[in-house]
Amino acid sequence: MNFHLGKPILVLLVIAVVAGVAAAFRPAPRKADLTVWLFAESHHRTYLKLIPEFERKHNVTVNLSLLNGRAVVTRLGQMFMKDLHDPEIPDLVELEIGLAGRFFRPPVREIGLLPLDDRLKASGWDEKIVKSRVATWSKEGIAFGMPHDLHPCVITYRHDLFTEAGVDLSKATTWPAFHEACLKFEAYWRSRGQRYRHAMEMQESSADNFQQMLLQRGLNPIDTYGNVLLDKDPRFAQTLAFYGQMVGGPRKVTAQTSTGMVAFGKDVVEGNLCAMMTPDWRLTYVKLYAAGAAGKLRVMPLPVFDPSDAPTSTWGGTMIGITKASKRPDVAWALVEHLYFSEQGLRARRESSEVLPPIKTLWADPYYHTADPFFDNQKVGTMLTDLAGQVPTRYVTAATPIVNTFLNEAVAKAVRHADEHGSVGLDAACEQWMAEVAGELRVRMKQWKVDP
Amino acid sequence: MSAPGPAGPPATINAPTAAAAAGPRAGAGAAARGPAAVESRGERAWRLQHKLAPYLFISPFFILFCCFMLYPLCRSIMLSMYKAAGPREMSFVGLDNYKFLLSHDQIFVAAVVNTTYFAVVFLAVQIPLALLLAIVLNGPRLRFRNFYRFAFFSPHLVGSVFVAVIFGMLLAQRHGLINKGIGLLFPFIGTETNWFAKPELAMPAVVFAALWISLGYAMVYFLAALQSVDRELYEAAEVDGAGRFQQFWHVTLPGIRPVLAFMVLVGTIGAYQLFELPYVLFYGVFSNYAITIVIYLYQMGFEGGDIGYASAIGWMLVVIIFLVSLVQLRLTRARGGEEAA
Repeated sequence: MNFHLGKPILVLLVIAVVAGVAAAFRPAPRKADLTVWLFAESHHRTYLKLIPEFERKHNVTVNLSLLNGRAVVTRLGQMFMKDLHDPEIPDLVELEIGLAGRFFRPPVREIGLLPLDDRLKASGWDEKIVKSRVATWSKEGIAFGMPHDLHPCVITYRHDLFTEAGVDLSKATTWPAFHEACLKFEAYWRSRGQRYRHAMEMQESSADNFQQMLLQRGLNPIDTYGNVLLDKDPRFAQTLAFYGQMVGGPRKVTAQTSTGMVAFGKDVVEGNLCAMMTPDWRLTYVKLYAAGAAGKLRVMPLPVFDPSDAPTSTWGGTMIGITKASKRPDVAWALVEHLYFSEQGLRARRESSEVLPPIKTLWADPYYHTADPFFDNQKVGTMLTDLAGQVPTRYVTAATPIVNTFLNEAVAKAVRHADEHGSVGLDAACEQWMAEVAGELRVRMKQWKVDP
Repeated sequence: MSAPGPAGPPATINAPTAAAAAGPRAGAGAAARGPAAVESRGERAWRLQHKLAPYLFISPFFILFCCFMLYPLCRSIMLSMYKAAGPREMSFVGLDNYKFLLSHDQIFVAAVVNTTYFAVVFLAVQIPLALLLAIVLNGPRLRFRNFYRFAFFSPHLVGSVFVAVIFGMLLAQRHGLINKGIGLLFPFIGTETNWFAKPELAMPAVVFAALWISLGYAMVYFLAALQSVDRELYEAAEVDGAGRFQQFWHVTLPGIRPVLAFMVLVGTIGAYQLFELPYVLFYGVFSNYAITIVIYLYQMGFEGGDIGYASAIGWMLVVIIFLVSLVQLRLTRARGGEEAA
């Protein structure tokens, strides 16, 4: 056969035609009654075990789609921009706390997720759930998501190394006392030539740990209505000044871990980082990556600044929301209850993580009250359940990413100031930076505001 | 069929070309019937095909270009003049987004400064180093030349995200190879240099990683350019008594000028679009000293949901790249003109 454009073109044409025909006549996969978008592999694994029972009970089919977290946000954001009732939109979606804010940007009536307060009340879960955590996924008092978790924070520390240094860290119940104990620890180990042994892991360029301290004190940079609070309370600047001195300057007692859990685990096992903020999800990673430190670690509640502060904080989080496009919102809500609030859900969850559920009645499970040999036979679960009810409210807004950028900058400035000038002038400088950030954020909030 | 001649009309001049394109059968048929013969349906179809064929061939590109480039570009210009939060929450704000960006936005200013710093340092190191490598690898006496060429080019094959992950490990405190090396050579510095938390080190770390990916890529272009420089020019220069440096300055550089200008231009555009490398290296945590224009665009558009403002940032980036490229082209042409004169 002689094709005048040549054999390569002919081959390409044949492939294109065959592929086109195959694609055109390929039967579309049957759409499930409920589609759920997930971003966490561990959640996907857990839910796969729970779905068959739900499908039988409700006579529906459920499709769990595991996607990259940023892909979920980008795609869902595009779909919501096009049409809130687009049939391609999934029925349910899980969102991570750092990326969920954009969905709360429109006025409440235009948010692509269903308000869930009525369902929460009607089902009676509102009496059992930790309300401060529902507030995280709310805008202007209306809940658009149900919390998967609480992520209460404790401090995990190398009990053996602190004991060897003659420091009983668990007695440090305030942050200043904790700081002093860490200074004593560092002095002991420096005198023994341990240059890289640091008392505490804290971030020098990220405001994560700083924000955990703020949350302990009930301080959110922005409230659920978008009001900027950074210069409304002197404790913002005071906390920053304290943080700056812990992380930089002559009284520095911290170091930062590198990216990746392997480096983190190595730092814990080798005794480079001897204490760290640990939400419940991180306990799983500590056990997995710092297995060599088994039996040498203990946990303690967070120290406080004032007696009114919470001895815990929160770090990270996930919600599930039902979209307005869902054709079966009642069944979708039943699935939320099944995955998040039921005892079966709890049992499945425990197989892959230590994450505590947001339902208080489930904390009585004996699983949470057994001694853990990894943590020197402490009842870590009991401590976490004691603290879980005090988890502070953290608000998530569309401005959260930009607030974080400003706070990262403020932390970097405070650390640099402490490095260069110690505590001299740090308080005043922190006040000024907080006022500057607040001013900048207010101008931005005014520019962004889309609410009428 | 009329023979082409300088005095003939354009149609006549084009005729042989069209006939040749149509194939020998069509040409023979037309010649047999003579110029006065009435056009058959088949001939008309052939003529129509000749007229339409070029458009048909370029139509896939144009259709795709219109769908995936032109329309999104126009739409993003429109979006940049809106506050957008949802399908029914679009309010026209004119140039407000641009006004705010240029008059109030400190983060945007920081992003432009960081990106420009990256572009300048990156190009200032990449171009001379890549050229040097190319000259070394172009040497006739070098053994295993192809191996070295491949070795230097291979980082470009793995992609930015992969390289960022590798450099995240290399630069890790206490455990990273680079910090360990620093600790070994300079014990007073130690192994705890936090590359990503120090404003003075953050961008150099990104430049370092970017150079590792792109040095071999630029080298390949320069190698091709060096091989196209006329050998006789070197021989003539040698006869005139020019040394190695003079040969490089007066023969090599003018010879590779077009490629050099192209590399600087492409490098500048790429540098201003910097995204994946710092995004992965900094793990999504940014202060003013590390943020770049595209990362800021991503933060505003995809994390904050402000598509209108993100579009305005995108168009400001276009303007910046356009202006920088224009200046570069002018400078290159001016230098070229001076030398020609």
